[in-house]
Amino acid sequence: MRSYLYLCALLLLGAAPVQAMEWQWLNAMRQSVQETNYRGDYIHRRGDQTNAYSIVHRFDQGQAVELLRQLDGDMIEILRDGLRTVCYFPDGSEAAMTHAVPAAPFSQVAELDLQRIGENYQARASGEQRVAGFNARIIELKGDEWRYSQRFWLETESNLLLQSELISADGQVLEQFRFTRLEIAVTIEDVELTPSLKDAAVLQQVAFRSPADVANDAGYRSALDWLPAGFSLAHAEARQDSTGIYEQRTFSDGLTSFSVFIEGLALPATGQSTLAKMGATTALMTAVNGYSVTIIGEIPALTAKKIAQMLSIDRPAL
Amino acid sequence: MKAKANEAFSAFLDGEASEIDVQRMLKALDEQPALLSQWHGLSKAKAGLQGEVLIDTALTFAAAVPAETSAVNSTGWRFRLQQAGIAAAVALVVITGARYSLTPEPSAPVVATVVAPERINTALAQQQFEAQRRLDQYLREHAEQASFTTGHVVVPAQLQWVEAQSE
Repeated sequence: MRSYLYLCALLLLGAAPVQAMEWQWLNAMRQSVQETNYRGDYIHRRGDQTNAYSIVHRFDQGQAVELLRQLDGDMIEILRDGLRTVCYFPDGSEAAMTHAVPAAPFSQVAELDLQRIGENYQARASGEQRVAGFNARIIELKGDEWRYSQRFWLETESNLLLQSELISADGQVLEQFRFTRLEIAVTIEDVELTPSLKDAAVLQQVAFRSPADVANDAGYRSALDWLPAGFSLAHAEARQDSTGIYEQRTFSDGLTSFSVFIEGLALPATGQSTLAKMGATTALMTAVNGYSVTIIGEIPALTAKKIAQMLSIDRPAL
Repeated sequence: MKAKANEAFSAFLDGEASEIDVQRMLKALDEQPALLSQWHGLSKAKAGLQGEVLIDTALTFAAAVPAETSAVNSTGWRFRLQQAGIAAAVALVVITGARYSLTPEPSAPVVATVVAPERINTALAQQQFEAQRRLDQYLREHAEQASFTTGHVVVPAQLQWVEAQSE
């Protein structure tokens, strides 16, 4: 009996550092994505749609400069220089301008809140695999019924993220990011970071906003009476004018996020809700108390539905 | 120009039109008012091919358009709004039907929305267009906020409509 207890203690002692190691790798990955020089091509698959991008990333004197290029469909070039982001479009591709700016995974994440992620996901190392010519160790973060699981392939030496996946409860890959060609720790010349569309007729500049330090939604007319465990408010903004109210909130569990939008006047309810899915992104549009309510996030439809059901909005006092 | 406008209309039929697509359609309609009936024909043909349910109301709106000669000169916002409504109405013929074909597994509790012909009007069409535009905006807002915490951040591509449900 005693030896059995010893064995258990040994196993526990043995298991804890392994657990810690996986979290360390993840933290090193976030740093590596931002502070390593690399160039390569990656694909991004979302549902049944795949897009290819090329990326050149340089870290110099504490500042990252990155040039992204969409390789299929509309030609788009995005130059990210510190906190500034500039998008370049060729003449005649105005439609592409309505899209948001794609970003390489984790390239904008300031710091991973490992403590929090650890409370919401179970980490597990699950072997090694070869991706884009490099050996990678696989780390799996298992979610619960309210959030998707995620899987990361980290290059064994630099910890650079080579592949990542968002996985549904039934094991389906909903979204995938994967390098197909990559060179790590290379010297990047200035010319590689110069957009080829620099002198193009159409140019759009996007100023990069820093997230507010503390989000505050005090005084909002809407209230979320239920949140999936581990999610907390990360961003909030609201305004009110003749077209009614506008309340926007984003919640995060440290890794995944969803946003809730309330808009409009308290009109008679249309009584219709619509659910749309694209890859891991769920969009639920419905009406509560006559206001238009939209929930968008990389969350299962079940989570979005429950949030909507438990959402309340006060009508203005007459 | 016309090819671009046709592309824009095609996107409209698929429920994927951007604001710029609509601008393009409106401009084309300004120049060639006859396009409206052409597009309407196209939308019917497409819906027919896909075996969708057709609710043909768009032509009645076309008839309600003021004389085409004045259409060319008019650039007032009210008129433009009306045109947007008409364009949306043409598309609506198919969009309404499309909900049936995009219904996912038969086991899912899906109630397709059947819009009675008398309820289809430009106001409703405009409402739908407005909802689509708003959703695009929300997706961009969410993507930007998500980028601060999430690994997976991308351009929101077109959404796949999987469920439409009446309550």
